Amino acid sequence: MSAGLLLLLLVPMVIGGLTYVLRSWRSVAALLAAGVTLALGILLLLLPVDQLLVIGGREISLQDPVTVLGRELVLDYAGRLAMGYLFLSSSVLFLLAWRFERGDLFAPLGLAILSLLGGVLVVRPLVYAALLLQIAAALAVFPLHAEEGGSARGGLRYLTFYTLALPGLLISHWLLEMYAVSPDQLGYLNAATALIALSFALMLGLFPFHAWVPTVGSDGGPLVAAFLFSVTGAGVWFLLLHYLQAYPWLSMHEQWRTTLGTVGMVTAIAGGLLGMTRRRAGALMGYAVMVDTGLTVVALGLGTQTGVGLATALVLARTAGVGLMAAGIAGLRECNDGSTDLPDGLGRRAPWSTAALFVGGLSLAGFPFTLGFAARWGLLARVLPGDPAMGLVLLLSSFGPAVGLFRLLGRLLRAPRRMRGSEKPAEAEEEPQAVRESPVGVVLLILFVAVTLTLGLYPQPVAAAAARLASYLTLFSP
Amino acid sequence: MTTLLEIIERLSFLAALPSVAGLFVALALLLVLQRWQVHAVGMALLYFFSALLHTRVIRPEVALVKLLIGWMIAFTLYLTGRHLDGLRGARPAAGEADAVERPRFQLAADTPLRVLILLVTPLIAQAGALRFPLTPVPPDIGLACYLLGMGGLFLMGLSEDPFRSGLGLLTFLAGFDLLFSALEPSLVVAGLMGAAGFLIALAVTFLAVTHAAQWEVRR
Repeated sequence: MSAGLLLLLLVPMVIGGLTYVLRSWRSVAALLAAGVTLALGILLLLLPVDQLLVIGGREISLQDPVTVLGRELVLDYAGRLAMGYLFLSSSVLFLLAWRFERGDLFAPLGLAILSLLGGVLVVRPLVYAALLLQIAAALAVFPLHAEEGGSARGGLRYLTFYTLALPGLLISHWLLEMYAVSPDQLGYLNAATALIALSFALMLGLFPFHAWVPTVGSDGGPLVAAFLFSVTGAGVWFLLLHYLQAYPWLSMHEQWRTTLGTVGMVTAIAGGLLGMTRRRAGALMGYAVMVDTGLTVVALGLGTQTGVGLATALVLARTAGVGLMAAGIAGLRECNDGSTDLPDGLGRRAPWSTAALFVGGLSLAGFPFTLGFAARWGLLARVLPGDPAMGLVLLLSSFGPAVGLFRLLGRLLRAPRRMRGSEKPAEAEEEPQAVRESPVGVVLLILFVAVTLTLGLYPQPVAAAAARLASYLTLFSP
Repeated sequence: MTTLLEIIERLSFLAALPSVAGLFVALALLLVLQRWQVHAVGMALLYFFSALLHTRVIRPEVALVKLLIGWMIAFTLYLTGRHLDGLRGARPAAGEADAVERPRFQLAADTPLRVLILLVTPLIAQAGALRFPLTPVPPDIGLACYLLGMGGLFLMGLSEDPFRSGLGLLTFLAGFDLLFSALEPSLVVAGLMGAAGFLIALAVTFLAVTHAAQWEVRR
């Protein structure tokens, strides 16, 4: 019998190497990456827990622990669901990258990052997870800035914040070992709690450590930024849940609810206010993610199993929002010679990309009838009765990115200004040279818009998946 | 390898306060001066003295591997600096025609601030080492950790240029590595830390080249 877990971690890495060789044929590389991640995701989600997989006459078990260099790799059921989600989300983004990503490093390095994130979810002790996450963050910088001529600020800030988060996670491990030896020394415990909180605040982009979030959105390739916000962000989120499971006293802290509620609310307010005023679509996506992260933290701060389910539902729904929004931004950029600035009236030339940006943005902002709405509604329904002021603030903060989105939409659909001394609008003059949306890209966008809206109307599958994942993470009482 | 180990053993008398002083000199080169050649030398020195201090908390062989990784990072930075210099020299921008005539070691306008920060850094490091001593390591190594950590943070904060900011990241990480090696001397952790450090250096150099290309495009 072979250890399937190791195969599961190695396959994306090996396919990543293959797609690197094939990167000149971007379509082949992107479709291969999408296909492999889709297959692995389905395998993880649909295969019964204790069933053996038989490939070429060999029995492969996914649940048996594996020891690598003296470290144990364990895939529990929650880890399986989380990893399955990471693979499926990546599959969606790789498929969108097939038509909308200009750089050629996303598929190879995205797969390598997936392998590392898989390692983050299964390796014990958690100190190794922090190191793997750091390596994944360093790798992410390359595809993020694979397009020539863009600003490098986003990648630099991303790398800086993740590097600053590393010491806290590693040192806390040692502090907790010391506390286990001498339980009367509460200083160790308090220091470890503070360091873990600080590290996750840096990696999740909570206020005031949010500087990297909008910058990654505005400076990086849109789909790679979406990958970092959804897939890598989810990896960090699941690692946080693992920490809470491994160290239960963290969530039993008397200040747990207050601290998470306050930090989450302030992050959501900051994202909402700043998102309202942004003109650049990428930065707007970043601020919408900030609001979403803030709400996720508030949901976790509820300190109940339902709260964990709601937070997980928000994380799951995020992929659809950021993926669609990023594809829309990339499609619009494509129609504007790859320029990151989206001029007035561009939306008239690229209506489907504009529609994708709009629907994705609305889902990310939690607008009714979109995928992002259901989990937010569930959260507000729990917060409003107990703390109406906080509920109202959370509701209003969601309006910030929506207002920014409507302003952006108005600008994109506005009639272009007339050129001086000309009777025709600028758009009409540029018409013969203008790049149009590709038909295949339009079909993809229509498909994903339809899926997002359908899941918005019938969110039960996502809610059930989130509730199932949360039920395997026994953090709080129901 | 044996010869290098012997050299390190012979230099082990430096693996105390003299190494901390050496780290301060390396930090001075990184903080105050603007030339990329000086930065590459500064990083090489920093990794050398850091490796000497490592010999007191981990096996000399592992310290030697850390030194080699550090020098590889310094060499990568050197190659990137050279490449960036070539990019700048190849196409001087409009209004920068006199750039070629610039003195070799011209001081930047923010030099006084950088000198002030350099002088403040050991004071903060000393205060930190006294107020919050790093108990797992000897006091002088604790001081070196604080010195590198603070120096790295200042380097990161002083510039948004990926190359210079990246030096700060690497310096910060070197300081933390010095502490963490004492806490977790396992080879796997040392290997992962080395891989992370080297990948960060590659990412930083990649960003530095992208940053330079951005200005080329704007020209």
